Amino acid sequence: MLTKELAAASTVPLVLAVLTEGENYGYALIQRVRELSGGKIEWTEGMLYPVLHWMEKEGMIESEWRAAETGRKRKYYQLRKEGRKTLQEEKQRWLTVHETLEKLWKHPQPRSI
Amino acid sequence: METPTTPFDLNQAIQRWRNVLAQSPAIRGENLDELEVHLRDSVATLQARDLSVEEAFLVATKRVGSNMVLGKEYGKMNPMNIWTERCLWALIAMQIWEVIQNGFISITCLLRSDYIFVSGSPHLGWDTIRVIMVGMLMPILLTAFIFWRLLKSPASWMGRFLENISIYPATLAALLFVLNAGGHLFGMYCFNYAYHNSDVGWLLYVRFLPGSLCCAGLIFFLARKRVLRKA
Repeated sequence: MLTKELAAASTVPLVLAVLTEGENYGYALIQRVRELSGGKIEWTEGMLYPVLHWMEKEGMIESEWRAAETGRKRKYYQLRKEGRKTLQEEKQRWLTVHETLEKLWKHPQPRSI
Repeated sequence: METPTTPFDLNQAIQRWRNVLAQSPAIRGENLDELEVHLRDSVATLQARDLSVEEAFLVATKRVGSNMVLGKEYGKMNPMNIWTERCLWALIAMQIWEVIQNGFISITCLLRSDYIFVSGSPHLGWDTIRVIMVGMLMPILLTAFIFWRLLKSPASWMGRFLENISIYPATLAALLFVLNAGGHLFGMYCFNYAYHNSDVGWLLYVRFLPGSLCCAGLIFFLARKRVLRKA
């Protein structure tokens, strides 16, 4: 399980990354993240929506109400150019953290004082 | 196994859940629609995993999050809504406070006029100050107490009444204005009675009118905005 802070920090990059696979709606987005993380990333589901609305306001994504094949109307979110740019920046940040930690975990160099 | 006396109605349960969420000022009508679609999707998925409708509904609502958590998160996105809502309730509280205060003024004037007004002119002794202090302080404390109770249990009859009437902004504003004007008029009538029919009372009454009209206008405007947001 992620800590609260890490879950909050990773929401935007995760949403952007899932949307690179194509437009999607909130419920399916959460399912996709749960499936990819093997159930280790569990959000308080309703909290995703304010984040989506904020991302839309920032111009990263856009949304549209549309009826699905089942007839149920859903709000679909789609990536915008600004979002792709943000995703690239986020990717660099997360990779920096990841690579640094990996080096330390794989080849720790004990220091003698 | 016992069979439940009343079968579980998903639509009714969802409507009740929506009503609770709608109490949060930051959650708009469209947000509720989106959350409802999510909840229905979630319920359908859980039902496919052999849960009863009722069980699925309980799990799904828990996963979506409590109204406290959601209200807070949506609030971060629409902070203005929270402030307009607070302003609305503060104004309503102010109007109610004025009504209560006028009640106290009337009572003080009628009961203690001999203390305050000695031979037609105000006598500013300790007795007078004490009476004025009680007259000013008690209404504030009483209003604070009423709204504290309302915050603690919004489902009380008064909370429900305010909630129901706030759907009709014009009625709400008009009712508060009439109550206030009536209270002031009565208060000033009592003041004049104690002050041997001086014109000061009526002057004070005229002074209050513009402020009260502005308040009523603002309450109408804010309540209307609130209704439109929930639509």
